[in-house]
Amino acid sequence: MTTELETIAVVSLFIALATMFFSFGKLAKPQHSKGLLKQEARKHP
Amino acid sequence: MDKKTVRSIGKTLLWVAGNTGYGLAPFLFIGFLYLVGINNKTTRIAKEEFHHLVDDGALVLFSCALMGAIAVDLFFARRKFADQMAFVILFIFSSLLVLITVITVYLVLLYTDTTHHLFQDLPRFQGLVIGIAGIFCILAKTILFLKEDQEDPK
Repeated sequence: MTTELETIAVVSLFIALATMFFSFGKLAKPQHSKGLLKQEARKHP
Repeated sequence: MDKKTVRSIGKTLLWVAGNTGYGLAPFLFIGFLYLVGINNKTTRIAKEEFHHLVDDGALVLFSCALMGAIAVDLFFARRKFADQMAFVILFIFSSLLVLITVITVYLVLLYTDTTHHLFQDLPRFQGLVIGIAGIFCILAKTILFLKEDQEDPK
């Protein structure tokens, strides 16, 4: 594998990793009450 | 860390161990034969077969399959996250980015390299893909179990 391709691939994989951790951080936080109300409304229309 | 988070992480680790055990059973068995070394002939064949599977990208294939299964699970559970749905989509996108990278590297090698080694020459890249796929599986499954626990009043 050429060095350029390897660099691009590694950078791309690290971007994916950063995105994963960012989303996980946001999803692990408890939901706002507004969001929970919407969820309840969807369950019991 | 609260009790529910610890329980979710525990479930995730059990899930990863179970899936790895089932999914990689033949591979692990060959690895076991290679390590135990019953006799020289068996050890040699097991060693060749083990390296053959690694070189052919069996581990990358397994990690991509596992990552895809969880991404689909997450997609179906997206409504449970209500106002955080955008982050669920972003989370799924990160797994797609890994897949796109693997496909791009494979395509570039296929069209530019004249030899037939392909993944054989990429142990570091393979390791990185397997590691990132593993991290994705652990994070995604933890979030899903955590959500299930939060919904369950018990």
